[in-house]
Amino acid sequence: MITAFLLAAAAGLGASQSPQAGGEPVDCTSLPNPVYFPATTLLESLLAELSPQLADPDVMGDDAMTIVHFPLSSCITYDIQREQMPVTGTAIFYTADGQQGSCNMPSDVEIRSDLSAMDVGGATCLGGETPPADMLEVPSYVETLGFVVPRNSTQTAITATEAYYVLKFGGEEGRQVEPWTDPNFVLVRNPGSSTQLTIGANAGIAGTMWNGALRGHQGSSDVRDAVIAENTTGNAERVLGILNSSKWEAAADDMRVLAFQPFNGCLGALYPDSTSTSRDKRNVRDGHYPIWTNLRFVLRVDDAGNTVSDNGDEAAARADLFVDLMTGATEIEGVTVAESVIGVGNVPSCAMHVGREVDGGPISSFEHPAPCDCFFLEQNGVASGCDTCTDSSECGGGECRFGYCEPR
Amino acid sequence: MQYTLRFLIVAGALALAACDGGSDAAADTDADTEGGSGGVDKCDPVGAQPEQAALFNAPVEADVEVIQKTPTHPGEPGPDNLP
Repeated sequence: MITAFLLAAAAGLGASQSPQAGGEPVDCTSLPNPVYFPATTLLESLLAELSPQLADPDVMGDDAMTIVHFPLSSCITYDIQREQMPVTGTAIFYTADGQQGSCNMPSDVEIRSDLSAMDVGGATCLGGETPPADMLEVPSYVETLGFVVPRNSTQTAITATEAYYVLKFGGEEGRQVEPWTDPNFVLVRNPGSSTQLTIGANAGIAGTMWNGALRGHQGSSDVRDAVIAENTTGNAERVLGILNSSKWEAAADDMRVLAFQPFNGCLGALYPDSTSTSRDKRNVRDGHYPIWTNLRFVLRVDDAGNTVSDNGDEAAARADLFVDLMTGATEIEGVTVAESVIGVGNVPSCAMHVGREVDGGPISSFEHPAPCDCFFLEQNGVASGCDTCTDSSECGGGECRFGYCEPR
Repeated sequence: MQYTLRFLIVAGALALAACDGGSDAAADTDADTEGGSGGVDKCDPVGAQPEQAALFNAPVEADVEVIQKTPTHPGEPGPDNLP
Protein backbone atom coordinates (compact mmCIF):
# COMPACT_ATOMS: atom_id res chain seq x y z
CA MET A 1 0.00 0.00 0.00
CA ILE A 2 2.70 2.43 1.03
CA THR A 3 4.94 1.26 -1.80
CA ALA A 4 2.16 1.83 -4.30
CA PHE A 5 1.68 5.35 -2.96
CA LEU A 6 5.38 6.08 -3.15
CA LEU A 7 5.77 4.80 -6.69
CA ALA A 8 2.77 6.81 -7.82
CA ALA A 9 4.30 9.86 -6.18
CA ALA A 10 7.61 9.19 -7.93
CA ALA A 11 5.97 8.97 -11.31
CA GLY A 12 4.16 12.22 -10.65
CA LEU A 13 7.36 13.97 -9.66
CA GLY A 14 9.18 12.83 -12.75
CA ALA A 15 6.41 14.05 -14.96
CA SER A 16 6.00 17.49 -13.45
CA GLN A 17 9.45 18.59 -12.34
CA SER A 18 11.39 21.09 -14.44
CA PRO A 19 14.44 21.99 -12.36
CA GLN A 20 16.71 23.49 -15.00
CA ALA A 21 18.36 26.81 -14.24
CA GLY A 22 17.91 27.87 -17.81
CA GLY A 23 17.48 26.44 -21.27
CA GLU A 24 15.43 23.52 -22.49
CA PRO A 25 15.95 20.06 -21.02
CA VAL A 26 18.22 17.84 -23.10
CA ASP A 27 18.05 14.10 -23.70
CA CYS A 28 19.71 12.40 -20.71
CA THR A 29 21.21 9.72 -22.93
CA SER A 30 23.09 12.39 -24.90
CA LEU A 31 25.18 13.39 -21.88
CA PRO A 32 28.80 12.16 -21.74
CA ASN A 33 29.26 9.03 -19.62
CA PRO A 34 25.96 9.34 -17.76
CA VAL A 35 25.53 7.78 -14.31
CA TYR A 36 21.81 7.22 -13.77
CA PHE A 37 21.34 8.03 -10.12
CA PRO A 38 17.99 8.18 -8.33
CA ALA A 39 18.92 9.57 -4.93
CA THR A 40 17.55 11.31 -1.88
CA THR A 41 16.79 15.00 -2.30
CA LEU A 42 19.11 15.63 0.66
CA LEU A 43 22.01 15.09 -1.74
CA GLU A 44 21.19 18.10 -3.90
CA SER A 45 23.55 20.54 -2.17
CA LEU A 46 26.49 18.15 -2.20
CA LEU A 47 26.03 17.14 -5.82
CA ALA A 48 25.96 20.80 -6.82
CA GLU A 49 29.51 20.99 -5.42
CA LEU A 50 30.91 17.70 -6.65
CA SER A 51 29.16 16.89 -9.93
CA PRO A 52 31.06 19.61 -11.88
CA GLN A 53 34.38 18.17 -10.67
CA LEU A 54 33.35 14.66 -11.68
CA ALA A 55 32.30 15.91 -15.12
CA ASP A 56 35.59 17.70 -15.74
CA PRO A 57 38.02 15.77 -18.02
CA ASP A 58 40.86 17.97 -16.73
CA VAL A 59 40.25 16.49 -13.26
CA MET A 60 38.93 13.01 -14.04
CA GLY A 61 40.60 12.26 -17.37
CA ASP A 62 38.89 9.41 -19.21
CA ASP A 63 36.87 8.67 -16.05
CA ALA A 64 34.88 11.92 -16.32
CA MET A 65 31.19 11.22 -15.77
CA THR A 66 27.89 13.08 -15.75
CA ILE A 67 25.89 12.45 -12.60
CA VAL A 68 22.25 12.30 -13.71
CA HIS A 69 20.39 12.86 -10.45
CA PHE A 70 16.74 11.99 -10.05
CA PRO A 71 15.91 13.72 -6.72
CA LEU A 72 13.39 11.53 -4.90
CA SER A 73 12.53 10.32 -1.43
CA SER A 74 14.92 7.72 -0.06
CA CYS A 75 12.71 4.65 -0.18
CA ILE A 76 11.50 5.45 -3.68
CA THR A 77 15.10 5.46 -4.89
CA TYR A 78 15.65 2.16 -3.12
CA ASP A 79 12.66 0.56 -4.82
CA ILE A 80 13.79 1.82 -8.23
CA GLN A 81 17.22 0.29 -7.76
CA ARG A 82 16.00 -2.91 -6.12
CA GLU A 83 13.27 -3.66 -8.62
CA GLN A 84 15.29 -2.27 -11.56
CA MET A 85 12.41 -0.21 -12.82
CA PRO A 86 13.20 2.04 -15.79
CA VAL A 87 14.19 5.56 -14.69
CA THR A 88 11.75 8.08 -16.10
CA GLY A 89 10.99 11.77 -16.10
CA THR A 90 13.35 14.69 -15.56
CA ALA A 91 16.75 14.67 -13.91
CA ILE A 92 19.34 17.26 -12.85
CA PHE A 93 22.95 17.31 -14.02
CA TYR A 94 25.93 19.68 -13.88
CA THR A 95 28.51 20.48 -16.52
CA ALA A 96 32.21 20.84 -15.77
CA ASP A 97 31.88 24.63 -15.56
CA GLY A 98 29.30 24.32 -12.79
CA GLN A 99 26.19 25.03 -14.84
CA GLN A 100 23.08 23.15 -13.73
CA GLY A 101 20.92 21.66 -16.45
CA SER A 102 18.00 19.32 -16.69
CA CYS A 103 17.41 16.36 -18.94
CA ASN A 104 14.52 14.12 -19.86
CA MET A 105 14.66 10.37 -20.17
CA PRO A 106 13.56 9.29 -23.65
CA SER A 107 10.24 7.49 -23.70
CA ASP A 108 11.17 4.98 -26.39
CA VAL A 109 13.98 3.22 -24.51
CA GLU A 110 14.13 1.65 -21.06
CA ILE A 111 17.19 2.52 -19.00
CA ARG A 112 17.81 1.30 -15.44
CA SER A 113 19.61 3.02 -12.60
CA ASP A 114 23.34 2.42 -12.07
CA LEU A 115 23.10 3.02 -8.33
CA SER A 116 20.96 4.87 -5.80
CA ALA A 117 21.45 6.69 -2.51
CA MET A 118 19.27 7.09 0.55
CA ASP A 119 19.44 8.25 4.14
CA VAL A 120 17.95 5.16 5.72
CA GLY A 121 18.83 1.49 5.38
CA GLY A 122 17.04 -0.88 3.03
CA ALA A 123 15.57 -2.75 5.99
CA THR A 124 13.73 0.40 7.05
CA CYS A 125 12.26 0.85 3.57
CA LEU A 126 11.24 -2.83 3.55
CA GLY A 127 9.45 -2.56 6.88
CA GLY A 128 12.10 -4.53 8.76
CA GLU A 129 12.65 -7.30 6.19
CA THR A 130 16.19 -8.34 5.29
CA PRO A 131 17.31 -6.60 2.07
CA PRO A 132 18.09 -8.79 -0.96
CA ALA A 133 21.65 -10.13 -1.11
CA ASP A 134 22.39 -8.34 -4.39
CA MET A 135 21.74 -4.90 -2.89
CA LEU A 136 25.04 -3.67 -1.43
CA GLU A 137 24.64 -0.72 0.96
CA VAL A 138 27.78 1.38 1.38
CA PRO A 139 27.58 3.76 4.37
CA SER A 140 28.87 7.29 4.07
CA TYR A 141 28.66 10.62 5.94
CA VAL A 142 26.15 11.83 8.54
CA GLU A 143 23.33 14.18 7.63
CA THR A 144 21.77 16.19 10.45
CA LEU A 145 17.99 16.59 10.45
CA GLY A 146 15.68 18.73 12.51
CA PHE A 147 12.68 20.96 12.97
CA VAL A 148 12.83 24.36 11.29
CA VAL A 149 10.84 27.58 11.49
CA PRO A 150 10.78 30.72 9.35
CA ARG A 151 13.23 33.43 10.37
CA ASN A 152 10.32 35.59 11.51
CA SER A 153 9.08 33.00 14.01
CA THR A 154 10.07 33.57 17.65
CA GLN A 155 10.19 29.85 18.47
CA THR A 156 13.57 28.46 19.52
CA ALA A 157 12.95 24.91 20.77
CA ILE A 158 10.70 21.87 20.63
CA THR A 159 10.56 18.85 22.94
CA ALA A 160 10.15 15.28 21.73
CA THR A 161 6.76 15.09 23.40
CA GLU A 162 5.59 18.28 21.73
CA ALA A 163 6.70 16.87 18.40
CA TYR A 164 4.85 13.63 19.16
CA TYR A 165 1.60 15.49 19.77
CA VAL A 166 1.96 17.68 16.67
CA LEU A 167 2.87 14.84 14.33
CA LYS A 168 0.43 12.27 15.68
CA PHE A 169 -2.65 14.39 16.32
CA GLY A 170 -2.18 17.16 13.73
CA GLY A 171 -3.80 19.91 15.76
CA GLU A 172 -6.81 17.85 16.87
CA GLU A 173 -8.94 19.62 19.50
CA GLY A 174 -7.64 18.89 22.99
CA ARG A 175 -4.28 17.62 21.64
CA GLN A 176 -2.88 20.92 20.47
CA VAL A 177 0.63 22.25 20.99
CA GLU A 178 0.96 26.01 20.75
CA PRO A 179 1.78 27.63 18.39
CA TRP A 180 1.76 24.66 15.97
CA THR A 181 -1.98 24.00 16.12
CA ASP A 182 -2.94 24.21 12.43
CA PRO A 183 -1.86 21.16 10.38
CA ASN A 184 -1.79 23.29 7.23
CA PHE A 185 1.28 25.00 8.65
CA VAL A 186 3.08 21.82 9.71
CA LEU A 187 5.21 21.14 6.65
CA VAL A 188 6.32 17.52 6.41
CA ARG A 189 7.47 15.17 3.64
CA ASN A 190 5.96 11.71 2.96
CA PRO A 191 6.18 8.16 4.41
CA GLY A 192 9.14 7.25 2.17
CA SER A 193 11.26 10.21 3.22
CA SER A 194 14.34 9.50 5.32
CA THR A 195 13.85 12.86 7.00
CA GLN A 196 10.35 11.93 8.07
CA LEU A 197 11.29 8.37 9.07
CA THR A 198 14.27 9.52 11.15
CA ILE A 199 12.44 12.36 12.88
CA GLY A 200 9.51 10.05 13.54
CA ALA A 201 11.78 7.56 15.27
CA ASN A 202 12.99 10.32 17.59
CA ALA A 203 9.51 11.73 18.22
CA GLY A 204 7.85 8.45 19.14
CA ILE A 205 5.58 8.27 16.10
CA ALA A 206 6.75 6.29 13.06
CA GLY A 207 7.16 8.36 9.91
CA THR A 208 4.62 6.13 8.19
CA MET A 209 1.98 6.94 10.80
CA TRP A 210 1.95 10.74 10.89
CA ASN A 211 -1.36 12.55 10.87
CA GLY A 212 -2.80 12.80 7.37
CA ALA A 213 -3.84 16.42 7.88
CA LEU A 214 -0.22 17.61 7.97
CA ARG A 215 0.94 19.25 4.74
CA GLY A 216 3.10 16.75 2.83
CA HIS A 217 5.82 17.57 0.31
CA GLN A 218 7.75 15.43 -2.17
CA GLY A 219 11.24 16.87 -1.70
CA SER A 220 13.27 18.71 0.93
CA SER A 221 13.58 21.72 -1.37
CA ASP A 222 9.79 21.92 -1.45
CA VAL A 223 9.67 22.08 2.36
CA ARG A 224 12.45 24.67 2.45
CA ASP A 225 10.66 26.89 -0.05
CA ALA A 226 7.32 26.54 1.74
CA VAL A 227 8.84 27.47 5.12
CA ILE A 228 10.61 30.50 3.69
CA ALA A 229 7.47 31.65 1.90
CA GLU A 230 5.68 31.99 5.23
CA ASN A 231 8.04 34.74 6.39
CA THR A 232 5.87 37.33 4.70
CA THR A 233 2.35 35.92 5.11
CA GLY A 234 1.80 36.81 8.75
CA ASN A 235 1.75 33.11 9.65
CA ALA A 236 5.43 32.60 10.45
CA GLU A 237 4.77 31.87 14.12
CA ARG A 238 2.45 28.96 13.25
CA VAL A 239 4.88 27.23 10.88
CA LEU A 240 6.90 24.11 11.71
CA GLY A 241 8.88 22.20 9.08
CA ILE A 242 11.23 19.22 8.90
CA LEU A 243 14.48 19.54 6.98
CA ASN A 244 18.16 18.58 6.65
CA SER A 245 21.13 20.69 7.69
CA SER A 246 22.55 21.29 4.23
CA LYS A 247 19.26 22.95 3.27
CA TRP A 248 18.74 25.05 6.39
CA GLU A 249 22.36 26.19 6.54
CA ALA A 250 22.22 27.39 2.94
CA ALA A 251 19.06 29.33 3.80
CA ALA A 252 20.18 30.69 7.16
CA ASP A 253 18.95 34.20 6.37
CA ASP A 254 15.41 32.93 5.94
CA MET A 255 14.96 30.07 8.39
CA ARG A 256 16.28 28.58 11.66
CA VAL A 257 16.63 25.11 13.12
CA LEU A 258 15.03 24.55 16.52
CA ALA A 259 16.83 23.19 19.55
CA PHE A 260 15.48 19.73 20.40
CA GLN A 261 14.95 18.04 23.76
CA PRO A 262 14.82 14.26 23.27
CA PHE A 263 12.93 11.76 25.39
CA ASN A 264 15.01 11.00 28.50
CA GLY A 265 17.07 14.14 27.89
CA CYS A 266 17.09 16.21 31.04
CA LEU A 267 19.50 19.04 30.31
CA GLY A 268 17.03 20.97 28.18
CA ALA A 269 16.81 21.52 24.44
CA LEU A 270 20.02 21.68 22.44
CA TYR A 271 20.86 22.72 18.91
CA PRO A 272 22.76 20.40 16.56
CA ASP A 273 25.61 22.89 16.90
CA SER A 274 26.89 24.17 20.23
CA THR A 275 24.87 27.38 19.81
CA SER A 276 22.19 28.70 17.48
CA THR A 277 24.81 30.50 15.41
CA SER A 278 27.84 28.21 15.53
CA ARG A 279 28.63 25.54 12.99
CA ASP A 280 30.48 22.76 14.75
CA LYS A 281 27.77 20.03 15.02
CA ARG A 282 29.16 19.47 18.49
CA ASN A 283 25.92 18.10 19.92
CA VAL A 284 25.48 15.75 16.98
CA ARG A 285 29.02 14.49 17.22
CA ASP A 286 29.03 13.87 20.97
CA GLY A 287 25.54 12.37 21.34
CA HIS A 288 23.48 15.24 22.79
CA TYR A 289 21.41 15.75 19.61
CA PRO A 290 20.02 12.49 18.20
CA ILE A 291 18.25 13.49 14.98
CA TRP A 292 20.69 12.44 12.28
CA THR A 293 21.16 9.65 9.81
CA ASN A 294 23.82 8.03 7.62
CA LEU A 295 23.76 8.35 3.85
CA ARG A 296 23.99 4.99 2.06
CA PHE A 297 24.92 4.35 -1.53
CA VAL A 298 23.25 1.28 -2.98
CA LEU A 299 24.97 -0.79 -5.66
CA ARG A 300 23.80 -4.00 -7.30
CA VAL A 301 26.36 -6.80 -7.02
CA ASP A 302 26.70 -10.29 -8.45
CA ASP A 303 27.37 -13.48 -6.47
CA ALA A 304 31.09 -12.63 -6.39
CA GLY A 305 30.43 -9.18 -4.98
CA ASN A 306 31.25 -7.31 -8.18
CA THR A 307 29.19 -4.24 -9.04
CA VAL A 308 26.82 -4.79 -11.94
CA SER A 309 24.66 -2.47 -14.02
CA ASP A 310 22.04 -3.11 -16.63
CA ASN A 311 23.80 -0.38 -18.62
CA GLY A 312 26.98 -2.44 -19.03
CA ASP A 313 30.41 -2.96 -17.51
CA GLU A 314 31.61 0.60 -18.11
CA ALA A 315 28.54 1.98 -16.37
CA ALA A 316 29.14 -0.38 -13.44
CA ALA A 317 32.76 0.75 -13.24
CA ARG A 318 31.69 4.40 -13.17
CA ALA A 319 29.22 3.67 -10.38
CA ASP A 320 31.96 1.89 -8.46
CA LEU A 321 34.39 4.78 -8.89
CA PHE A 322 31.75 7.31 -7.87
CA VAL A 323 31.03 5.44 -4.63
CA ASP A 324 34.73 4.95 -3.91
CA LEU A 325 35.30 8.68 -4.30
CA MET A 326 32.29 9.63 -2.18
CA THR A 327 33.32 7.32 0.66
CA GLY A 328 37.02 8.22 0.59
CA ALA A 329 38.12 4.76 -0.56
CA THR A 330 39.66 6.44 -3.62
CA GLU A 331 41.01 9.97 -3.95
CA ILE A 332 41.59 12.01 -7.11
CA GLU A 333 43.31 15.38 -6.93
CA GLY A 334 40.78 18.09 -7.65
CA VAL A 335 37.81 16.12 -6.34
CA THR A 336 37.16 17.69 -2.95
CA VAL A 337 34.76 15.22 -1.38
CA ALA A 338 35.73 15.69 2.27
CA GLU A 339 35.76 19.48 2.02
CA SER A 340 32.44 19.53 0.17
CA VAL A 341 30.73 17.11 2.57
CA ILE A 342 31.64 19.43 5.46
CA GLY A 343 31.05 22.58 3.47
CA VAL A 344 27.40 21.80 2.84
CA GLY A 345 26.74 21.09 6.52
CA ASN A 346 27.35 17.36 6.85
CA VAL A 347 29.63 15.37 9.13
CA PRO A 348 32.09 12.73 7.87
CA SER A 349 31.99 9.63 10.05
CA CYS A 350 35.61 10.27 11.09
CA ALA A 351 34.40 13.33 13.03
CA MET A 352 31.65 11.42 14.87
CA HIS A 353 31.98 10.10 18.43
CA VAL A 354 28.63 8.31 18.48
CA GLY A 355 26.97 5.86 16.15
CA ARG A 356 23.79 3.82 15.83
CA GLU A 357 23.11 0.37 14.44
CA VAL A 358 19.44 0.88 13.55
CA ASP A 359 17.90 3.81 11.68
CA GLY A 360 16.64 6.24 14.27
CA GLY A 361 17.55 3.75 17.00
CA PRO A 362 19.53 4.40 20.17
CA ILE A 363 22.93 5.99 19.83
CA SER A 364 26.03 4.70 21.55
CA SER A 365 29.64 5.79 21.92
CA PHE A 366 31.86 5.18 18.93
CA GLU A 367 35.50 5.99 18.19
CA HIS A 368 36.50 6.16 14.54
CA PRO A 369 39.77 4.35 13.82
CA ALA A 370 41.09 7.38 11.92
CA PRO A 371 39.52 10.49 13.49
CA CYS A 372 39.41 13.83 11.67
CA ASP A 373 38.07 16.23 14.31
CA CYS A 374 40.77 18.85 13.68
CA PHE A 375 40.06 18.97 9.95
CA PHE A 376 36.30 19.04 10.51
CA LEU A 377 36.47 22.00 12.89
CA GLU A 378 38.92 23.97 10.78
CA GLN A 379 36.79 23.43 7.68
CA ASN A 380 33.89 24.94 9.61
CA GLY A 381 35.95 27.95 10.64
CA VAL A 382 36.36 26.76 14.23
CA ALA A 383 39.86 26.92 15.73
CA SER A 384 40.79 23.34 16.60
CA GLY A 385 44.05 24.08 18.37
CA CYS A 386 45.66 21.39 16.22
CA ASP A 387 48.99 21.87 14.45
CA THR A 388 49.11 21.79 10.68
CA CYS A 389 51.24 19.08 9.10
CA THR A 390 52.30 17.37 5.93
CA ASP A 391 53.45 14.13 7.54
CA SER A 392 52.74 12.20 10.75
CA SER A 393 56.38 12.55 11.78
CA GLU A 394 55.54 16.18 12.62
CA CYS A 395 52.75 15.20 15.00
CA GLY A 396 54.59 13.98 18.09
CA GLY A 397 53.00 10.55 18.16
CA GLY A 398 49.72 11.65 16.59
CA GLU A 399 48.62 11.19 13.01
CA CYS A 400 48.58 13.71 10.21
CA ARG A 401 45.22 13.67 8.40
CA PHE A 402 43.89 16.20 5.92
CA GLY A 403 46.73 18.53 6.90
CA TYR A 404 46.23 18.54 10.68
CA CYS A 405 47.80 16.61 13.55
CA GLU A 406 45.10 14.42 15.07
CA PRO A 407 45.80 13.03 18.56
CA ARG A 408 45.66 9.45 17.32
CA MET B 1 39.10 14.61 44.97
CA GLN B 2 36.90 17.70 45.20
CA TYR B 3 36.42 17.56 41.46
CA THR B 4 35.39 13.91 41.66
CA LEU B 5 32.90 14.67 44.42
CA ARG B 6 31.41 17.54 42.46
CA PHE B 7 31.10 15.31 39.41
CA LEU B 8 29.33 12.64 41.42
CA ILE B 9 26.88 15.18 42.82
CA VAL B 10 26.10 16.50 39.33
CA ALA B 11 25.79 12.98 37.93
CA GLY B 12 23.52 12.01 40.81
CA ALA B 13 21.30 15.02 40.24
CA LEU B 14 21.04 14.19 36.56
CA ALA B 15 20.21 10.58 37.30
CA LEU B 16 17.47 11.66 39.72
CA ALA B 17 16.09 14.03 37.13
CA ALA B 18 16.13 11.26 34.54
CA CYS B 19 13.97 9.12 36.83
CA ASP B 20 11.68 11.94 37.79
CA GLY B 21 8.75 10.57 35.86
CA GLY B 22 8.58 13.54 33.55
CA SER B 23 6.23 15.65 35.64
CA ASP B 24 4.85 18.58 33.72
CA ALA B 25 4.34 20.55 36.90
CA ALA B 26 7.34 22.63 37.93
CA ALA B 27 8.29 24.95 35.11
CA ASP B 28 10.86 27.62 34.51
CA THR B 29 10.35 30.60 32.33
CA ASP B 30 9.33 29.80 28.79
CA ALA B 31 12.23 29.14 26.42
CA ASP B 32 14.82 30.35 28.89
CA THR B 33 18.30 30.20 27.40
CA GLU B 34 21.23 29.12 29.52
CA GLY B 35 24.82 28.25 28.95
CA GLY B 36 26.64 25.25 30.37
CA SER B 37 25.24 22.18 32.01
CA GLY B 38 23.04 23.88 34.58
CA GLY B 39 19.30 24.20 34.44
CA VAL B 40 18.36 20.57 35.04
CA ASP B 41 14.59 20.71 34.79
CA LYS B 42 12.61 17.72 33.66
CA CYS B 43 12.62 15.03 31.06
CA ASP B 44 10.02 12.82 29.43
CA PRO B 45 10.95 9.18 30.05
CA VAL B 46 10.14 7.09 26.99
CA GLY B 47 11.94 3.86 26.13
CA ALA B 48 14.60 2.14 28.21
CA GLN B 49 17.89 3.10 26.60
CA PRO B 50 20.33 3.78 29.41
CA GLU B 51 23.45 4.27 27.28
CA GLN B 52 21.69 6.79 25.10
CA ALA B 53 20.24 8.58 28.13
CA ALA B 54 23.73 8.82 29.59
CA LEU B 55 24.93 10.51 26.40
CA PHE B 56 21.97 12.91 26.39
CA ASN B 57 22.61 13.88 30.00
CA ALA B 58 26.39 14.08 29.98
CA PRO B 59 27.43 17.55 31.14
CA VAL B 60 28.06 20.03 28.34
CA GLU B 61 30.73 22.69 28.09
CA ALA B 62 29.95 26.15 29.43
CA ASP B 63 29.72 27.61 25.94
CA VAL B 64 26.92 25.27 24.85
CA GLU B 65 23.53 26.96 24.53
CA VAL B 66 20.83 25.07 26.43
CA ILE B 67 17.20 26.13 26.22
CA GLN B 68 14.83 25.39 29.09
CA LYS B 69 11.40 25.27 27.55
CA THR B 70 8.09 24.94 29.30
CA PRO B 71 6.38 22.15 27.34
CA THR B 72 3.06 23.14 25.79
CA HIS B 73 1.62 19.69 25.12
CA PRO B 74 -1.71 19.03 26.83
CA GLY B 75 -1.42 15.48 28.15
CA GLU B 76 0.96 12.80 29.32
CA PRO B 77 4.54 12.92 28.08
CA GLY B 78 5.11 11.09 24.82
CA PRO B 79 4.05 7.61 23.77
CA ASP B 80 4.47 4.48 25.87
CA ASN B 81 7.53 3.52 23.89
CA LEU B 82 9.56 4.41 20.83
CA PRO B 83 8.64 3.04 17.37
